[in-house]
Amino acid sequence: MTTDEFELLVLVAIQEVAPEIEKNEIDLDEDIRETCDLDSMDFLNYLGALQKSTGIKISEADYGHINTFNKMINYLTLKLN
Amino acid sequence: METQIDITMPSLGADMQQGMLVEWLVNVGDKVKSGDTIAVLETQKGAIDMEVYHDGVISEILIQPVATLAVGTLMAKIAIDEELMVNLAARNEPLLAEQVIEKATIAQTTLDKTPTDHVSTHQTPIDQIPIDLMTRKTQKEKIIKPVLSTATIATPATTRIASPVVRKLAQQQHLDLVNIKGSGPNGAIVLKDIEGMLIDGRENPPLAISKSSIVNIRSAIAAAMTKSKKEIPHFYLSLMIDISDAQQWLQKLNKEKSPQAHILLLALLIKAVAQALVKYPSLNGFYLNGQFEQADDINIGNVISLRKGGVVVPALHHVDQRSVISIMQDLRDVTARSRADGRLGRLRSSELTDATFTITSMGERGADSVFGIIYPPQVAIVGFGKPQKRPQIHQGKMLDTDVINVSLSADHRVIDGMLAAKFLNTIAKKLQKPELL
Repeated sequence: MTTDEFELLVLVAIQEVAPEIEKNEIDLDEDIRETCDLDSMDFLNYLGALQKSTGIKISEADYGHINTFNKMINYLTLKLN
Repeated sequence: METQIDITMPSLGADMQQGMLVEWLVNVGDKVKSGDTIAVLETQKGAIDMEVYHDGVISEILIQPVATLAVGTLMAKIAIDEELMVNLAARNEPLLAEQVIEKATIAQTTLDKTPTDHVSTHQTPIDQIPIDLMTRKTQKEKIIKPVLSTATIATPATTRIASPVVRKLAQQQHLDLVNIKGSGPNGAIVLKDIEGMLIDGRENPPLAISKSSIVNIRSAIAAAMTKSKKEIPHFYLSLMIDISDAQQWLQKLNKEKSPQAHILLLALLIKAVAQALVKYPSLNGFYLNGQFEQADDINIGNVISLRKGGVVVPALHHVDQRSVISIMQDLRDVTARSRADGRLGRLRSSELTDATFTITSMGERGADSVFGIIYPPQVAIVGFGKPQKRPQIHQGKMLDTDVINVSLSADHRVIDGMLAAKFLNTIAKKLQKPELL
């Protein structure tokens, strides 16, 4: 998968919980909860949506590696490619 | 013996005066069970699934959507087996049994008086509407607020035969259908009859609905909170609670779990509050007619903030008797239904009427503490700030601990300071043994 495809996957997952958010509104290196205004429940649903689309289960131990948009892209790239 | 019971526009809170019937989900002749969803209502709190509170058969549908109706307006009738009903009620609730008989009589009288062939003739004046039988709570609300001096608000759209889409558009755009000549079957007004009258932008009514729903939610919050601050003598206190054990317990539990099975701290907090309410039931209930009425169940309203602005407070039922996992499942479900604009289902009417106590929680990104305004006629609200790391001295040693600030806003007509403090300390104690929650 290409980086563009991963970006699209992550964006779609974010929009499941925050439908009003566009890519250009996301600060790619800021904590995703801050930049997209996600609370704990939104964050779980965002990870749940990604698990559904990618099959990757992201557990709490890995939260440090996925807490920004860019980190999430890297994490998924490593896991899937 | 069969009897007819009225189905009326429910009151979904002390602040609600009217609601809009958007769609029936049942037809005449359908069998329904208590708790089944029978209609979709648009209220100040958004689109709500209206539930029925009896087992029976829908015998009449008296109002066609879309129609804005005052709380208490007769909408439909349900035929129930009276003997079965009275027996059931007598077994569970002697008080209710009397009301059923009284109600059956009133319902019969109403039935005799009310013609059934014209939709438009069912605009029953409010003062003739029989007492609602739906729940004890609803009746209590009616006592506090014998609501409404105005007659039923029915839209002109309900007085003419028109297709559902026409009624919806007419409602949205405030069109009067009375003088329009319909070209459909039996003179029904169809879309092409009103096309020229529509304001430009028919393709985006969802936006209009969404904008007005924010305004509605704001005015519902304004009404309830103003009433509360005017009538309830609030007092406030707070306590810093060590939640290190609770956080560690959760971390262990969640370590290998998928996001869908993850348990949030909020589920533990809600359960701890429910257990504290079991110990101090005088915080769980309603202040009505100058006195406190303790509630039988512990149904906790959890404040959910909406992305578009505003909050809704759906109740989680019988929280004291449920596991943390089951509370978490409920939280996910109800949050999804509150936030997804109908994509994942809607809130049910009972969820907006059954809360006996309320919790508001700031979450991880919020403020240190929050002091809520009591939702009347409840008598207290608990507020949790954001969980934080704080150094604490324990047996002469500095320890890195997790803490959370819990506040209580309480009604001084019912609760005194010492009781309030004991209640907060009990929540703290419960959170020290998370495995027992």
